[in-house]
Formats: sequence, C-alpha cells, structure tokens
Amino acid sequence: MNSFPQSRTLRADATSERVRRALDAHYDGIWRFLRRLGVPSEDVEDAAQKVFVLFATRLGGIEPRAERSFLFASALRIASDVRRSRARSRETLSPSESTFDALDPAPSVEQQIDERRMRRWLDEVLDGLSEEHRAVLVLVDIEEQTMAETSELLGIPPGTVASRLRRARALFEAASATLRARLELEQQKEGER
Amino acid sequence: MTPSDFSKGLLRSAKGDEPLPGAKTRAFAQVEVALASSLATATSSASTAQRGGENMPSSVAPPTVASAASTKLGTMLAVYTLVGGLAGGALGGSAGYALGRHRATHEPVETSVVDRRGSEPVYEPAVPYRDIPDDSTTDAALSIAAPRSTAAEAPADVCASLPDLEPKECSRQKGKTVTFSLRSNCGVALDLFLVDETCREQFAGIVFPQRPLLYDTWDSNVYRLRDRATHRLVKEFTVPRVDGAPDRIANWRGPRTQLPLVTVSESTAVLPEAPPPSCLLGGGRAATLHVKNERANPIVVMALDSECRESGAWRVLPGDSFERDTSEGHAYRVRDWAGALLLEIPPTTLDTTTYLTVP
Repeated sequence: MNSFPQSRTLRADATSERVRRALDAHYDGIWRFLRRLGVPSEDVEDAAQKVFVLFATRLGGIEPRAERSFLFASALRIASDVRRSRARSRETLSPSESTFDALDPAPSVEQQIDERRMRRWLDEVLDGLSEEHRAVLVLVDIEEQTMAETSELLGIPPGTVASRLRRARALFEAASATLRARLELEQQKEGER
Repeated sequence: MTPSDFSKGLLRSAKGDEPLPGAKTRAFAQVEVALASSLATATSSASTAQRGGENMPSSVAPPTVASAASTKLGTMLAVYTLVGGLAGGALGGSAGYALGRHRATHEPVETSVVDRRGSEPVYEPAVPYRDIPDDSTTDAALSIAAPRSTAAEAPADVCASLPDLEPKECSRQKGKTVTFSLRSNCGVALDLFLVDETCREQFAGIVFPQRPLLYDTWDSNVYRLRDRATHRLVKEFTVPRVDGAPDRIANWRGPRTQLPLVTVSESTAVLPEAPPPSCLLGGGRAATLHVKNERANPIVVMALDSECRESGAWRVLPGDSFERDTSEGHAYRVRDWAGALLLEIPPTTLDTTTYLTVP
C-alpha cells in the first residue's frame, strides 16, 4: 500500500494545528497592527488572512519561537502593499474608521461614537507618520510591546527602535496638537452658526 | 516630551478596536483552503513522479485532492458547512460564489462559541453545551457570517450600477436616532459605506445577499452601497424614521428597565423546537435581564440575532443567577444542558426598525 497519502495528511494536520494555535494567540494583535498601520477597515480582514495564509504556507521554515516575529514582519509588508494598492485603485476612499454604531447595547451609542471618532482621529494622526515611525509607535505605545520585543519583531537593532520611537512620539504629539486645535476651531465655528 | 491627555486618549482608543465577530474562524477557513491547494499541488506532482508515466491501479493511486483535503477538513472543520463545496469548487477551478476577493465563505453550523479567555474551544460548535464558557460571549452585534446558500442557490445579480458621481449630500451625524435593517437582493456581497461629514466614504459593513444587516444611526446620515468585488455604486440612501421610533440615546440615558426575573427550575417543561416568536429588534430602552437557575444542571442563555439565530451563549451554573445589561428589543432563549429548549424570552418593545431593501 502506498504510504504517501497518510503521511501527507498527517503533516497537514500538524500544520493546521500549529496555524490554529498561532491564530488563537496572535490574530487580534495582527488585526489591530494592520489596522493601525493604515490598512482600511474594509480591507483589514483580508490582509490579516493573507498574513496567516503566508504563515501557513511557509510554516516549515519558521521556528516556533520566531512565529510571532514572522507574523508581525509579514503584517508590516502586507500593510504596505495594501496601502500602495489602495492609493492606486481607490484614491477617494479614506482609510478611516466607520462611524456607525453596532447594535449591542453596551456601551452606549454616544460612547461608541466617541470611541470610533477617536480612532478615526488616531488614524489621521498616524497617517502623518512614516511607515517606520508608525510601526514602532504602534507596537510600543498601542500594542504595549517592550523595545526589545519590538526590535525582535521588526528585525531592527534596539538602538534604532529607541531613536525611531523618540522621533515618532514627538511627531505624534505635534500632529495630535494640530488636530486638537483644528477640532476646537471647528467646534467654535459650529457654535457661532 | 510628555504626551497630552488628548494624545493619550487617541492611543487609548485603539484598544477598543476589535476584529468583526467570526474573523478568526474565517481566517482559519481561508488557511485551510490554502493548505488544501498546496496539498493538491504537492500531491499532484508527487503522483506524477511516482507514476513515471505508467498506469497505476486505482486501488493504490494517491488520493484525489478532495479526499486528501477532506480527511483534514473532516477532523478540523466539522463545524463548517460549506468547506467541502468551497474547497472543492476552488480546487476544481470553479469560480464559486464570490463574496468578495478571497474572503472565505464558511460559517459555523451552529452558534459560534468563542472562549475569550484564550483556551481551546474557540472553533467548537455550540453543542454540547458543556464547552460553553462561563463568561459572556457574543457574536450577535454585527454578524458578517457568510450566507448559507451555496453557489448554485446564489441569486442572480439584479442590482444595476448607478453613475458614480459625488454624493448628493453628506451626513450630518445629527438628528434623530434610527435603526434600520438592510436586506440585499443583489447576487453579490455589498460594502456599506457611510458618507461622512466631509463627504468621504467610510466603510461601515458588509451586506451579504439575503442576509439583513441591522444598524443604528442618525436619520441625517447618508449611506452608499458598493459591489464588494468591483466597487461599482449600487445605491445611495438616507434612512427614514418609523413614526413613534424612540430616541436611542435618550433611551440609553434614561432609567434601565429591570426585566422580570426568569426562574428556571426542574418543573420548567421542555418546549417543542420551533422558530422563536420574535428575533432581535432595534430600539427599546436599556434593560437588565435576570435569569436564575434552580435546576440541578447548568442551563444556557442564548441571545438571538436579527435573523433569530442563536448567536451568544452564557452558561449559568446550578443555583447561580445570570444578569446581563441588554435592551428591551433583544430576544433570548434558555436551553438545558442537553440542548433542549426551555424558555423563550421575547423582546418587550414594539418594532420600530426601518426596513430597507436593495434594489
């Protein structure tokens, strides 16, 4: 009897199991990372799927301890591809978050809208950063990774992470101050009307 | 540099951002399809190499893609209904029923039970109930699971394109709250976009054929529907209010209705399996649901979505009480440990949803 089919299937089972574990552990983080890297909300699920499909197809060459960093590095590349292709195909479409309200009753409609608006503004500010600054800021200040972890995830030296983070924070602060001033002005105009 | 409160608030807001319900399951299904494809390629090339141009008896021939994949899918994806068809369709070169790009079209057979504590039963079906976590889970708020219809059953695309001009008006994000249910008769999945205050389109969700999507919004907001695959414009609309529809925000700010305590005891008789009297409705005041389990075994409280699917599940242990902040418009069911239906808890509000159909 040919033993090929069984061994092949067993290998596929082990692969699936490893992918499933990786999905359980990292999907949400990858999804948020992609989102904050500027992947539009309507594309983020597709992009996350691409990350894990890539992971699954290259699993044989990925050490278990390097899974996370492979996933984040892949997400970084895929986010970059998605943004570029979006810029070519749908120039009018903003990458911002939707402002609809989900039906679930908690938290309140008003609170949900506030949160969604904040995320829209966050993305607007992050859009002003370069890819490299954005990735570091998102990983450290949003995903709460340490600088050492970020260094490992992005495959760059810790010193580079530190300097990029410093610069990214300064740029973020300046951009958010500008945004705040603009919002206050808009509010003032609205009040005068 | 010390970050301002505003900056901190911006960064904090990212924490509440989560994938849509079922995203992980869809990603896993997509990976399975990719693995099956690569398995097919490998099997095919190995098979060719082994045969070496000779005729091989069918009894020792390598399995077809479908059988090799189905061994895997049979063990790992027992909860999906459409995997066989999708994988077979995709591998057989059929275009299949495209819901949009490469998004997977799988859906759990039963209620999706997600253990948010990170332990194992993430992909398990709803039954048996012993695997349901104690803490609350919900998949009901915005279901984007693919429709159950197969490619053969998919309706023809009856939605014509509109000229893709600038929106006639932008949303004002003001006015009165309105809940709408959007059903599409188009044969393709549609992207719903909010035309925001600056007239830019903001993605708001996916509308699958024949699967209503329920939303809360304002009556001044403008929406657009586009073909998910081609991005062609299909419809632009605002949502009219039904007379007497409550103000959602006022409702939520007002006092919370304490729904009557539901007690489930050994004397609670099993109900025949039948469609629930009512599904989830939009609107309604904030409410708190109370359920007490006086039985010797756990019971399961299940939330119904707008299509009456059991979409959330909470286990209530013997002697325990269950409390959940909800809405008067939400519907629940209670089942016993073996899955038998014990109680229906219908909404206690009138239906003030605006029903819209495309085209």
